[in-house]
Amino acid sequence: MKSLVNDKPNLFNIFYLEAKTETLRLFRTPGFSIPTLLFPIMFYTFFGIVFSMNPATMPTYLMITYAVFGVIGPALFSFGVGIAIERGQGWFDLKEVSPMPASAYIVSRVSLTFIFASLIILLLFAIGAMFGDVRLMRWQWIALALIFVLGSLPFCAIGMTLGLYLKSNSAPATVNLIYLPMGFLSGLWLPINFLPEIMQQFANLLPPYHLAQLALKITDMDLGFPVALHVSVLAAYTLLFMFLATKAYHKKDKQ
Amino acid sequence: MKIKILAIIICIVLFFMFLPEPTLEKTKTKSGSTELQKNGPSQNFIIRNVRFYDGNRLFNEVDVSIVDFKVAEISNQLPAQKEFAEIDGAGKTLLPGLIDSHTHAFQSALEEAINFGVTTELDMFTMPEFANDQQALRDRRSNTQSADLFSATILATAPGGHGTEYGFDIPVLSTVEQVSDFVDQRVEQGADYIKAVYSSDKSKIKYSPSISREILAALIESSHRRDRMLVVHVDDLVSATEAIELGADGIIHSFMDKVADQSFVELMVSRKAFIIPTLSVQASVAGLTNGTKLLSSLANTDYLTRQQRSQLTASFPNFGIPAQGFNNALESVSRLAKAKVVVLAGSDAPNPGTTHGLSLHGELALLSLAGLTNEQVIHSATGAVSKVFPVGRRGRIESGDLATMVLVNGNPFQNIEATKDILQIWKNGVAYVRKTYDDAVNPLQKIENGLITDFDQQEGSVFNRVKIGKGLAETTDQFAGGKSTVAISLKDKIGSGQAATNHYLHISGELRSGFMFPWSGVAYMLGESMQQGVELTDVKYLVLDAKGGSQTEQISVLLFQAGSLSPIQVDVKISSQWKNYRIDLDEISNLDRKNLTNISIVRAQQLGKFEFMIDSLKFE
Repeated sequence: MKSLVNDKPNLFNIFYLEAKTETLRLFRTPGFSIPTLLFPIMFYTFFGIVFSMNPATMPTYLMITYAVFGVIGPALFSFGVGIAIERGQGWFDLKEVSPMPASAYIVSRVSLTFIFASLIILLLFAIGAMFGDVRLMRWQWIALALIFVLGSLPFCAIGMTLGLYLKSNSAPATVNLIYLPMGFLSGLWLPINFLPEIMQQFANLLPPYHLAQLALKITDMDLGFPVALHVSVLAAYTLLFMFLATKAYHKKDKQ
Repeated sequence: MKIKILAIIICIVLFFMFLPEPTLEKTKTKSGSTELQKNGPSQNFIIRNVRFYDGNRLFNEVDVSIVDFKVAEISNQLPAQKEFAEIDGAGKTLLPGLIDSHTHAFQSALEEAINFGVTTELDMFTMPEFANDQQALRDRRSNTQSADLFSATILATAPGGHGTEYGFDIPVLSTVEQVSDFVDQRVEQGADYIKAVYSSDKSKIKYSPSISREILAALIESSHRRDRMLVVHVDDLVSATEAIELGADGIIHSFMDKVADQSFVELMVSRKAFIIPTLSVQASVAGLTNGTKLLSSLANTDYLTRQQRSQLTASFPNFGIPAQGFNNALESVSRLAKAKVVVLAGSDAPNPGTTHGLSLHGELALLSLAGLTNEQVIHSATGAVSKVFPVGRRGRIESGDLATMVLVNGNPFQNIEATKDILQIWKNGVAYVRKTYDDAVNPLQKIENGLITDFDQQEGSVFNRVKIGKGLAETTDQFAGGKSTVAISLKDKIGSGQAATNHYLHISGELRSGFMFPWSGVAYMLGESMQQGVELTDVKYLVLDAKGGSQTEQISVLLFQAGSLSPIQVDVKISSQWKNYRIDLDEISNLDRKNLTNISIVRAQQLGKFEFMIDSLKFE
């Protein structure tokens, strides 16, 4: 009896070990951990606090948008760049033939994204509260953190698709080319109403814009569109890219 | 592993526990008590059979429905809706939230404004720090407890010109080259429009230095280039004419030197310029006590703070403008209104004789007195403003707008006084509960007669040796940006034999130019703060011994009322001998003894070195 039970693989343990090793690996890859942690913090300190145009609202507003910027970074990079590189090195194939369930691979990367996202959120909240005089109700702080963490999911899907399509040597550059302009155009660097009208219209197509609007609703700083719109756009993006990722995965198998 | 994860979770929970929350200010007010307010209309409701003004047009007996904070339908007969509260509007009038087109907003201005149905204020000079905070709030639906603010931020004036006398360190204009940068800075600091102060070289009386005609022209050009309107403060007809000729969008203050002549009226018409007459403050400048009258016309003054009440009864120093000047202003407004020039209601609160909120109602009455029809008068504080200033939908009520409106009892289109009879205020669809400030809730300390100090008490520093009140302090105009100095010390009366126990207070220093009203001396602090003073109703005399130094023959006693920065001044001639002086408080006009914060004994106005001594201060 005892051996039978032990022979059954403990799914949670697999998930945990995979996530732990991946996390360790990423923390030991300064090329990933330092920019993803540092960029949002640096930009926020710079634009949101030191050169804040309006000390009353800007630190709060930009803390939220840079947190969005911060959480989509690890999602795009750990999935997009990570998978592309592992495919290039053949590591991805090795994992595929290992007895580890495929879900562990995804779960570990999602939890990795959550861990990095949480770190960024905690750092930004601490800086905002200490140096930007950001004052929010307890529920607002918590709701924001939850929105940010869960809001990284659509970007995990986008990252996964990118990782499966892109070539390993071009992936970091391509992901950066998507990440940075998308952040800017979605009004994550500067408040969206500072951008020209036409760019504001265009932002409607971009998922970070919708995540930011959702979060800004918590502090009553959003543009006033319904929650359902933002949620459904984000959900649509998630589904679309999950579908594309599955397609890419099967296409890869046939090659 | 489990312990590690647990530790991390605990850390995160602790982190969130320590994130700062906003500090909620608790106001010491009683909530209003009318039936309507108690029941607080729910968010969906219908007002039936109400006289309704949408900011531009008047409708008699219509039904207005409010759904999800917005005005939904305005119709002759709306069907009853389930779960909609119904308000009987018969005999009542529904107006858009009122707009005061000229105020100076700081401290609690916007809370005071909404308490009287003024839901938007156009500020014409305040510090950008205050304005920016409030401007950020105005487009939020949650901003239901104070009026929305639009602001010119810092005004454009000359070195030493009007606007500099308040002691704030503000940028001033002395050359045309500075103008463009000045306007850019204002726009970047969030100015919704630009305000300038101008007095022509042809003006008969110049109250203070003014920017030149060329600077005004450059200001107009730069403001328009940055897509901002330029409004000009003027004191006389010739300055007003020049400002409009140069292309200013509007003028502030209906000048009192002359009546607007036909050519000025035609100029205003052809340029489509507007005027904000601010009759309330003009009356006050001309020495009329309309603020006091407004205060006494109220059935219930509980909606005003103590500070507001003293603002209403305060008066300007005498500018030498005859009361006839005010009639000139009324006549000019009448002529301009007849020629269909846009007139906007602005109170210029909180200048002496005016206060935020209530004084707009006073202004409406004065505009009516000037001969505008009541419909024109109400238009001037609602729909007319949104046609001129970039205030969005404010001042109007149409289907789809957030319900920011005022329900008043009676018909202000017949009797303008009815605007003050407020039944309910809504801001962004939320019923606003008017704040009341009942004196009984928070009584002030009443001062008994007796010895204040003879400076002979052994203990404590020179500043603590008082038996009544809070203490003494040095006071100079440095507080307001001036440069005067003071030195205070205890000295012994020579030849008294008991030198060590017979002290007096020796005050010396120098009055230097730097502030419009230089002063230097000692302040006797009575109250807790600038806002909360003490009651002095039982005191009839302030008694003191005083003696002048070699050249000092006059000192001044300044009586500060709560919330007011302009004290009442009583001059006392002194000599080189110790003498006893009794100041009869009953003889001081305009002194409200209910809320005094400090009595300062100073040398004022005459520049140069001074020296005087005081002893044995008493209330009798």
